[in-house]
Amino acid sequence: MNIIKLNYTDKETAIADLIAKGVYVEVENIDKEIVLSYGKGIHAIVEIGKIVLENGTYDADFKELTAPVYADGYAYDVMSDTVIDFGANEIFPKNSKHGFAGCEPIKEIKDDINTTR
Amino acid sequence: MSLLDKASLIVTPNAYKASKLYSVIPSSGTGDMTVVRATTATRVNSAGLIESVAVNVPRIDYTNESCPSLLLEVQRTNLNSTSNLSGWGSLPTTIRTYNTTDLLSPDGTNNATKIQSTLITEDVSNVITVANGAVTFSFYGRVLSGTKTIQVDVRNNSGTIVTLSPTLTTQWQRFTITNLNSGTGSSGAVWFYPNSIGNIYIYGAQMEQGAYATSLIPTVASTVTRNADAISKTGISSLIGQTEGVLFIESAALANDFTSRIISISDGTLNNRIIINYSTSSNTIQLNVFSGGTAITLINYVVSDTTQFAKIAVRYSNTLGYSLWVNGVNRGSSVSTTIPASMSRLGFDNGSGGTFFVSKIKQVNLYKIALSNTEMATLTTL
Repeated sequence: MNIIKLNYTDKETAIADLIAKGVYVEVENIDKEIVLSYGKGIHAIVEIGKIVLENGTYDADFKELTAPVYADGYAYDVMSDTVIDFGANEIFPKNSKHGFAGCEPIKEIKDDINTTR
Repeated sequence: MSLLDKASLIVTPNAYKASKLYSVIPSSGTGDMTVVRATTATRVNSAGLIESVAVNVPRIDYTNESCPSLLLEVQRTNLNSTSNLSGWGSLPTTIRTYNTTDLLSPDGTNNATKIQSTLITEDVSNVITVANGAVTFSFYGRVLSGTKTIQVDVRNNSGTIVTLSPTLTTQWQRFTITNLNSGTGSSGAVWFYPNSIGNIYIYGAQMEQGAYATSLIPTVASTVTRNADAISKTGISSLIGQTEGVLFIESAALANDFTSRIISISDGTLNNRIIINYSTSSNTIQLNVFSGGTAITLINYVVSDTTQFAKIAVRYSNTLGYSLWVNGVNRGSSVSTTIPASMSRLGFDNGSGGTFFVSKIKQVNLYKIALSNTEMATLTTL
């Protein structure tokens, strides 16, 4: 299973690229509306949106005093059966703000090798 | 011959393993359903405890019942990155104890959070990033003795606050607060007000984008997504009547949320299929049939509450037409005798893998013959 972290300039650009790559497909639903559905082999598309780098400050009623600081761009996570080349839109954050349940990041294993096998 | 003997396929929330939900009939394996959910998820087990379920394992869920259901949910993300409230703000005199040993949490371990209040004006609160649309906050709460009424406020990105004042007892209860307002901001917020001096216990705080709460998605340090439950079986044309038959389900919707949720027999496309749909109209069960891409039959039936279990069956026949039965009564018929071609797939979805049948399911049956009116009534009577 491939978990791909993506960042685009904005939401519209992201959706256009996801459609172009077959991650999203446009289908007509039962009510004859065109809606976005997952493409073949796509298990999940998660709209992360703007990533908060620094939290805002708020008063006791959570009225915003200073706005949060956001990273540039608009983020998505995709879970796919296959490898998809997203070019420069694929990112590799060290401290991910989002994960999939039970899908831990791959860790380097050095000391737990079973030498008897 | 009994209705049981006449069935070509019976699936119940029973035996399973990773990627498979075994059919009761046939027992050969040809009717075993394929289960896909590429993340873990949680369920309530037979002991009443929340437990994690591995990737691709169907969820046999015992929430509020001794007879289990197959739980099918949509993809959801817990936007609250610490379900034990760590990292949340609070007034200085409020003390939070994580993993308290005072009691067992709903998962049977010591991982609930104790909030000790020494002033009645205190709160524990946090800002949570949300998008436009409805949000739902949920949590489990209790006290050690007596009862205690607290206040929980949930603000969405419109700035509108919805308040709940639940009474905590000595039993764990799950409380949900939905804020349906829409706005243009990017942050929501949650406040717990204990409202009196003393201790309360909180477990599994969850904020979701959506109009109802789904099963717990535990978080520790980041937001976490649980994928949708996708269950289907292809290559079973021998189990699906091609000129006549019955599709029967006993199910309950998870919410009356005005979305389509579909179970289907199809050729694997959207062009040829017979579907039962919890439709976008309020509390409406729909029979819809497509042949060659054209809608040929549509029957709607409004029930009092789709979140209550109902027995629903579609009878189709190239001589009798279509009829929709709900809870023992024929609720509508169509004289169309066109049957979708080459039906070979049963899907808890729209026929090709989307618009999942988000619901709790007790049983799904297929018949390759058009049952009589008496048999349909017997089959669908609660």
